Amino acid sequence: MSVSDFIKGLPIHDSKNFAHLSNDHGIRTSQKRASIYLPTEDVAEQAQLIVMDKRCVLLRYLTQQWDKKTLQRKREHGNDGNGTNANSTSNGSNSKKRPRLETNELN
Amino acid sequence: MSHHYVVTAQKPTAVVACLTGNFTSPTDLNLVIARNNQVEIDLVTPEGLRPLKEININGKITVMKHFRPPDSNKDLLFILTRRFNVMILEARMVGDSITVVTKANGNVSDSVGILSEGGFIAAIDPKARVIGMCLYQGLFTIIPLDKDASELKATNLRMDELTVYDAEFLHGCLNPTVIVIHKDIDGRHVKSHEINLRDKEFIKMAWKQDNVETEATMLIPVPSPIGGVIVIGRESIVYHDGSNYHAVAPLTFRQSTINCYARVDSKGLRYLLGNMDGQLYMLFLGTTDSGKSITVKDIKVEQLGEISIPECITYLDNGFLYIGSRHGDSQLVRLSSDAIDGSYVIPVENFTNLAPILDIAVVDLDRQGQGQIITCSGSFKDGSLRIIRIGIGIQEHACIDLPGIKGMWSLKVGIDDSVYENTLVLAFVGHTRILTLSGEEVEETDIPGFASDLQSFLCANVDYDQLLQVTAESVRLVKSATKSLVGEWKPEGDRSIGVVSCNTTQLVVASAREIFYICIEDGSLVEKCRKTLPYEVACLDVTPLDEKQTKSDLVAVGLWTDISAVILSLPDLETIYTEKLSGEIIPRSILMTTFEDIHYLLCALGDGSMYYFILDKATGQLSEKKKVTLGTQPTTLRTFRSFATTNVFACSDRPTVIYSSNHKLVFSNVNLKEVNHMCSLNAQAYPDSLALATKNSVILGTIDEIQKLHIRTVPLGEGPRRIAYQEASQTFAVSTLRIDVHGRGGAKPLRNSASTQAQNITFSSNILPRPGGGNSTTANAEVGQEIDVHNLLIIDQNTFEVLHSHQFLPPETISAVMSAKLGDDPNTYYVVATSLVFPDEPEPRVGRIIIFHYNDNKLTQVAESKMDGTCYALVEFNGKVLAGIGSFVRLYEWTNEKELRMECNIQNMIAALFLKAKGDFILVGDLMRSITLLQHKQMEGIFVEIARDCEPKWMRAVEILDDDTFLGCETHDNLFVCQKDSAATTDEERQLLPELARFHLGDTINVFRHGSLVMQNVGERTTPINGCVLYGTCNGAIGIVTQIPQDFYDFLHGLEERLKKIIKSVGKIDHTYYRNYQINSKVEPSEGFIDGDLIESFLDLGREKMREAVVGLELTLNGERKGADVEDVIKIVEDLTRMH
Repeated sequence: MSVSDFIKGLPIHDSKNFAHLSNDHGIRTSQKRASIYLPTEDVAEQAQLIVMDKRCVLLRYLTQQWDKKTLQRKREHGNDGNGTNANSTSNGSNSKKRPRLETNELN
Repeated sequence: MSHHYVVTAQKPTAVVACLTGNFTSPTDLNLVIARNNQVEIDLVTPEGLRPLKEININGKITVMKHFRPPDSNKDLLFILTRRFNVMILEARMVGDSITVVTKANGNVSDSVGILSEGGFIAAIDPKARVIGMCLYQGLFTIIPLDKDASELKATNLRMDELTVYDAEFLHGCLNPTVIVIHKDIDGRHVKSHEINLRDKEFIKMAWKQDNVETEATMLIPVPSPIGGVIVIGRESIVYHDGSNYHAVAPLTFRQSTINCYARVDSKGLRYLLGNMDGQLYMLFLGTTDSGKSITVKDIKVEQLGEISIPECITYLDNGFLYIGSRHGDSQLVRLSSDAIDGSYVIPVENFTNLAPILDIAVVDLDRQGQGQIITCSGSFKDGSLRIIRIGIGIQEHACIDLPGIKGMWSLKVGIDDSVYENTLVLAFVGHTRILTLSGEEVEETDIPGFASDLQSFLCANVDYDQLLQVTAESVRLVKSATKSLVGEWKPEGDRSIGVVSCNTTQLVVASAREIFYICIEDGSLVEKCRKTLPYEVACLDVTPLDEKQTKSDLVAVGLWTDISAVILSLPDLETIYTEKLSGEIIPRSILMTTFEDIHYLLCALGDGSMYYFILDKATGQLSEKKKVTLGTQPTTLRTFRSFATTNVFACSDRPTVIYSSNHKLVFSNVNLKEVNHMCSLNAQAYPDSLALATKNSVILGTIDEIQKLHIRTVPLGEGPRRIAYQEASQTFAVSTLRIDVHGRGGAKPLRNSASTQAQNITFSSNILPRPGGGNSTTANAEVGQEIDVHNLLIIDQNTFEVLHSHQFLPPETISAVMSAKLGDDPNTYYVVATSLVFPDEPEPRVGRIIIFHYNDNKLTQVAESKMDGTCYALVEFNGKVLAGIGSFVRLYEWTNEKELRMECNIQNMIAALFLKAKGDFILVGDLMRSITLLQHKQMEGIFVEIARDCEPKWMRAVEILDDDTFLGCETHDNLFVCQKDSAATTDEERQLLPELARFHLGDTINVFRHGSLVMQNVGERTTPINGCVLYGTCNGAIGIVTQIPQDFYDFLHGLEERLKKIIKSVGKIDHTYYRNYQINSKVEPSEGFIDGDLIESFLDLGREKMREAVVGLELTLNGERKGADVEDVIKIVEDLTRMH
């Protein structure tokens, strides 16, 4: 495959773009700058605020690990001790089954 | 207290990032360019790139990315700044105007994190679910995107990988999956992590590849359905998708490292790669489609051609690319499937970039009080000198060699209904020549009705399709269609016509003291009136003041002997006003004109100066007399129209365009050496042009839009680092760095450049031994190894030709250059400091100071002196050489035996990087110990430390503002001013340099120089500024720092505070926060500096907002305090803008 094959069929968004641009007069040099955008009015809609989770990364990591472990232990524990209660579906925390996660939460 | 005004004259030009997307509307294709603290939005049009808006961001942009929310048909912009501010911006078009909406903003800094070694990296999930950033070691910062939430909770995730070189999100993953290149003791590896956005944690590692190439630096995610990632290394390219693996090591990759890429098609088969050598490659993924999935089967890489050294590349449309550069001009290029000279890349447009400005020289070559800046700009192959001066550019389209032109006019001959002119009449001593313009061709022709054997004083198209020619003998009226004479007017007797002026209906002729008023009618010239004036007429004008009118009610006359400007009324030629011009120089050109509805009378004198007045059209009265110096030779004034406004061209040895801005006259230099005559020309092949007669030729060209800084490029092909000007030899000395490559026969330059093509080339023969033995040459270098070769270039100040190149033997590098007159020696020398740089030494231990003399086109080494360290800075100090060598500051005197002898030295620095001197005082900028003031005691022959700033600061540049005030820029882009307190009561206090002013500039200054870009004392100034220091930055900006008095500071500070409230910050980064002086965790409010960029934006506000901005603002005028009104403030701010 030659280089010219490589360059063939380059994407076209609008075939008119750059159509009137000729470089017959050689390379143009430009130092033109656009006018400055000077907003003086506040936009009505409120911007979303990006806030940093200030909790310590290590602590959070450890609590996450801890939660995972305890959850697992609880589950194991629950399996052992709550065998008689197996049909109960009313109470999430006591339940053997975990509630189904909403699909939108996954996203 | 210390008060300063800092303003940018040339905005930053280095491009940090660029991207293409649909921002202003779902169908608009936009190019977005980020430069330091600005974002430019361009529109792609059939005519090329059209700049729409430039948006100021209150921060230094480090990353700019774009993404498209799932339900949107437009792209959004994500920006991360150096101070960890993040923002998401949306551009909206309302009618013709853009509104930029901040969709989200915040700060993602962490108070305890250790900054990541690989720099700031940010990537956005292809489904726009999350933004990920590598800012700190061992942390991955995520901002989950949710357009319905009022808050976006950013979180740091713990990541095992400490040193990350690049991070990207993979396409086609159920959960957002980030992939990183990271380094550990075993090498570099690629690893992917899946992110659980709900629990904000990494859930599992999707896949990894250990030990990719040791120099792998870049990841390119491949879009679905192919997926996977391309890993770019120094020599090889790897494609990996967890299961499938392909590698290729293209031979064409040579020395350099790929540093940016652009995806060409949305399927992700083709990519453009650019490297630090300025080579452009195309990468092609060969695929097989098995029906179920598409898999990569091979990788092809081809070299396309050469571009500017890229920082970023983006594919626009129809084969056009934008190349953003930090090291050279940015470019618009086209890819062509037919190679031209082996290159498939056709440059279409260059966008001037001055970055990085490593050094500047401010020189006044014309000796007229106006400085030009010569910058050392660009690096490697894109290195250049840039000549920057304020003025207007003439784009030359054609040039005809014709010496001795005495007058020039453009005419329509035989085509009166056309809008275009077709004829150029040129007057010479004793004859007149007529040129016809047909297309681009110019040929000589003849108008039978014209007297071609006489010198024309005036030619013009007049009413009734007639032409007028005025010679010393007569006024000739010629029918345009037949070109034959239809009427003639002669003064009685043997008197000859001296000066003349006409419009399309009226003619005023003067012969000595007599003046005639003649009306132009169909086929005849009718004398209406004549008068005798008290003195001979030197110049006159009858231009109608109102453009729509064809008749004038006034005649302006300049008289000999009593040196006056006189206004006569028409038709009776009555004197209605006389204005005595002071002095003895006669008026040579007089002109009535209207700028922005104000009538002016301009009167240029024989010495190049010009008076101007406001002219009352009804009474002929002149008022508000002002004087400017335009040149040194008799000046001729002509009007021309450009961009639908009236301008005046002053022809002289220093051509000037006079125009009006905000009801004030502005005088702007033109980038031509000398213009004797000019006329506007609107021919078919040369529309809206000017014809300019110089000493030997006629130039046909167009004038730039009224533009202030004019930049000329002298390409060097190698990186300039230091520049010094020497008036005695009319040359510049420039130190440059060239990269040679070691081949089998020794080191060879990679390409031709200034140092290899100089008229004379010499080599440094003397090589210093390496301290502690060992081989000091690079003879044993490996084949293919790059070698830095330093050269000293001597460049002509007028032609910028390289007259001489002196090449140093590697590893000798030039660290400083200056021009100096030493001791009683009548010669002026170039003093060059060098050092031997060995990669295994922490700091060079040996260097030289060499004295060169350039004379008679020869560069001779006069003396050299060995140094035990690197000489970082050289300053001429009362006829001696002052040098900062390692931790020492030393003074060398020049003996009668032409040798450098050390007179005294002081050691109290870490590394004395920067030196400035004034009188006996020396300012030292240290590597990390801020600034120190030394004094040289001449009698004792010692240095004394006077005072120092005790706060540690890593210095980038220093300057002495006045005897007590010192300016510095440190490495976190802050400016500060320290002041010596001579009045302090205790010795301890006197030894301190308290910091009195501080300001965050937001760009790294490499050099300060005293000097001014504008002519000193042109017109009147209302602003009390004191001194002027120019600076050049890493990002290619040029700015000015000047001192201002307290009351003016208070006034501007009041305006600044009001403007901060009125002008809303895009990205909602507070202006006060932006200008805060911040070094690591230390934050102090900005004080003592006025942000001139903010102040000058006042002029761009609407009238209503201007009124709002001046409410309650007080200023002192003529010693009286009063409330400021809009007009006052406009006047003051305009005066400030006139500094640049």
